[in-house]
Amino acid sequence: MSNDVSNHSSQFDETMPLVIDTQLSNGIRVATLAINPPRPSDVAVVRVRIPNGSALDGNLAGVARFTGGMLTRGSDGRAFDDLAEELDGLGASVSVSVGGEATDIAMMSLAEDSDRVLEIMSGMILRPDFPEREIDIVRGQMLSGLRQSRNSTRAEADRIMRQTLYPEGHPYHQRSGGTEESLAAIDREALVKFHATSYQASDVIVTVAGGMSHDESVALIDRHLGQWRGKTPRVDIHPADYPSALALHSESLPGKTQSDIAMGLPALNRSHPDYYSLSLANLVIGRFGLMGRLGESVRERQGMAYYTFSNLEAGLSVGLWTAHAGVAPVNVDGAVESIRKEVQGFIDGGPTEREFRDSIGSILGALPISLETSGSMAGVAADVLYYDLGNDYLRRYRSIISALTPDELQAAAREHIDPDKLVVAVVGPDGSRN
Amino acid sequence: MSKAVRRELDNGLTAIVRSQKGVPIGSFWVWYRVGGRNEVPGITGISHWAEHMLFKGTHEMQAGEVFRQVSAAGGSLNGFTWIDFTTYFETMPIDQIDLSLKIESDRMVNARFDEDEVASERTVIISERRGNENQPTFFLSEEVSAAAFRAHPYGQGVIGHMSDLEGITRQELYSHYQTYYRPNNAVAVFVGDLDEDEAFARIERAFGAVERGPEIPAVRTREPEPQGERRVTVRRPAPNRVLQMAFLATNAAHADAPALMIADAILSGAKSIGLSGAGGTLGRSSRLYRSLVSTGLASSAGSSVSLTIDPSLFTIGASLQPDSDPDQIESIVSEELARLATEPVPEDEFNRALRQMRAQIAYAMETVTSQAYWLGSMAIAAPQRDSDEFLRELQAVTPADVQAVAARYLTPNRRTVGWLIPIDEASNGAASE
Repeated sequence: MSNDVSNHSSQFDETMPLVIDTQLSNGIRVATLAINPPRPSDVAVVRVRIPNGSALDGNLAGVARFTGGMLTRGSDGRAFDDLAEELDGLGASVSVSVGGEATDIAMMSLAEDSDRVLEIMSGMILRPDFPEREIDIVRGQMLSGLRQSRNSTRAEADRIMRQTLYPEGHPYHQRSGGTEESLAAIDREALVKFHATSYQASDVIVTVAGGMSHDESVALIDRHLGQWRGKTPRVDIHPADYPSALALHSESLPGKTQSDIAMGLPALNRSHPDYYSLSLANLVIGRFGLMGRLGESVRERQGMAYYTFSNLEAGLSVGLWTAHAGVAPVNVDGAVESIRKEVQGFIDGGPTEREFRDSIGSILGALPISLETSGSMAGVAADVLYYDLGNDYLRRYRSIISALTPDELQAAAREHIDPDKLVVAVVGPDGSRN
Repeated sequence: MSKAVRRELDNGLTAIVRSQKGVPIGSFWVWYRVGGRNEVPGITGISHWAEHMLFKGTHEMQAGEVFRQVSAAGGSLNGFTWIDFTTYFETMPIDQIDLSLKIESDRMVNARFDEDEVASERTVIISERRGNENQPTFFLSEEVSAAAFRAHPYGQGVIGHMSDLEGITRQELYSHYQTYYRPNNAVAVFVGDLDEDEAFARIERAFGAVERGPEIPAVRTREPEPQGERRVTVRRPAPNRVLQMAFLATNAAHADAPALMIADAILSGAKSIGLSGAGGTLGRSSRLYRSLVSTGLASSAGSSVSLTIDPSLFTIGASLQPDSDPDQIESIVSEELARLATEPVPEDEFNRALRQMRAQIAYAMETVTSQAYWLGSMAIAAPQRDSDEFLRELQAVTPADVQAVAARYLTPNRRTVGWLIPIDEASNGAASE
């Protein structure tokens, strides 16, 4: 099955903005949303996406995140305190987020300060100093984060599920935040080396939103990042093997009163023809309204959980479908069975007519809200370029979604989610499972 | 940004409208002056539970229909309960906003509180509390609040004691609802792409016929002045020691409130005034960050101040690194607070805090949802204040004002010091540092 997106590309929604992008001579693509009429904004956001996430960690788990954490800790010969003082003095922030595939570095400032803040941010990206003292502080914070994750039933359940799905040797098997051993082994030399090899201009996407025209945005980015050169290394992120049978893993943590369940399966990547069908199927199963059918069954009808939901993560290379719930230990088995039953029910019967209509209305109606702020506009523009969705994607979006059929949703769920092959991880008090 | 306008309907409903053109969306909220503040032992958590029940059906709408209809229209929605209020909102495409008004006017008086739904929701609420208990810092916050307030109901928090959640009846829930869910105890807020008069007309149409209720029971208790420091200790399996130091401060209507917010910004950066922390994370040059995090003594440190109806807590928190000395951490915090009370904040540092506040306001004002949140929360906490004027008052605070409020409120006699001490459960509660 497939959804031939191009068949519907003639049905444009003219109220949606085009994504305008310009490639600089060093390969960086600069994009803005052409909001018409232009919307004045007091807030500027610049988002830089570099395809160098944790998948590049190699045998040093956590090095991508460690490097990302160091960018704001001293650059261009200026100490962390000095930089923090200037940014705080402008009321501006620079945040770094390292995912599996990419690092996103985003600045937010008052519009009048965007030039100055971007100058600071470009120094952080291109010329970080990696001071030894700051390395120790960031290492301490990452170790603290690791201890807190290990004490969290939710985080541990999620980790066990992912590590089971992605076998040893897969770039996503390791903890992206590192381990005690790897964090101890990552020294200044390793950080400098990771930065030198993985922070390269080619394939970088920069999106700008808030009070600037496209030409002004391009000029601004060229001024601050135009000298950046180099080619980002590629890593092969191959799909995980589909499990052959239902697998249950449970662990206990002392002092806990509730169990968290994480279950998952390999799914599809963002460019797969079934992406939109499966995305809508997932909406019906575990997101729509108050957590979809899972919420209706596990929370509303049975009163077993405060939260339960499902999620479709579709990256450039691979994807996962996951479902989650937090329940009393005595209800673990019942919740797992209920979630599996709801998935099977969808596979057997597909969405009802009303579910289908509601979920289409939901995602189309939410589109204007998703473009409300400078930050959300920069995020949407970055995704359009990163996933190569086409500059008229937002105008085609309505027709892409409207062309889906209930049968396609059902078929996508049947093809990609087999409730008899789920990897299920449970972490809670002793005796989490009956 | 246009000014927010406030009117009162004949039935006592306060309506606040800000017309904001540009994006075809609107955010509509109804706030009720009921929360943990209005509860007594035996029914703690009842306001929060009642909030859940308002999604479980009215005479007009089946259980689950609110979520379904709003979501199907492309809207987002939620409800939440705090010590001072319970509030519900929908942010919608503007051509669907009447659905939001219809839902809120309906459930203001028509919620059913079916016996079966009450029973099913009891376990959901208990699960919510159990989920909180999985975080060891939840117990610390609960103990610190309980110790900091020996009389005022703020000390009970919002989620409720487990014994009360196990015992609250359908009749108690319904009676609570009938007492507090009245137009004369509510504030309706709209921000979005409608003309001001049109928005007021729609609110009048939706709510004008709802009958005014009896006078709302007053909360009499005022927290007595603390007579000295209080200390609490929580021993649980946990990854590290955590400090919470809470000072009985003042309320949102008090003239000192803006200066306390600037004091908070100087200690740990200006905070967002929007919903869910909309805006940036600022404050890495702040005093607590420099003295505790940059020194490697803590993995995180911060402060917070709340804008509340009655005097509430100014809180400082720090998550310690394993080999840090707790006494040293307490000393550093005390020294920082003493410095704030005895020395004027240098001009450049003070201007940094003001600029951060200005930026946080601009960031929050980007969304209609956060604007409506700010207008509603201020209308509850300090109805006599003009919320736009409050933002200007923040910018008018002086270093002398900050010094004065630090000397008045952030003193050892007004504080409750709480420590979370990790234990190893396997070794019968021995400290595991």
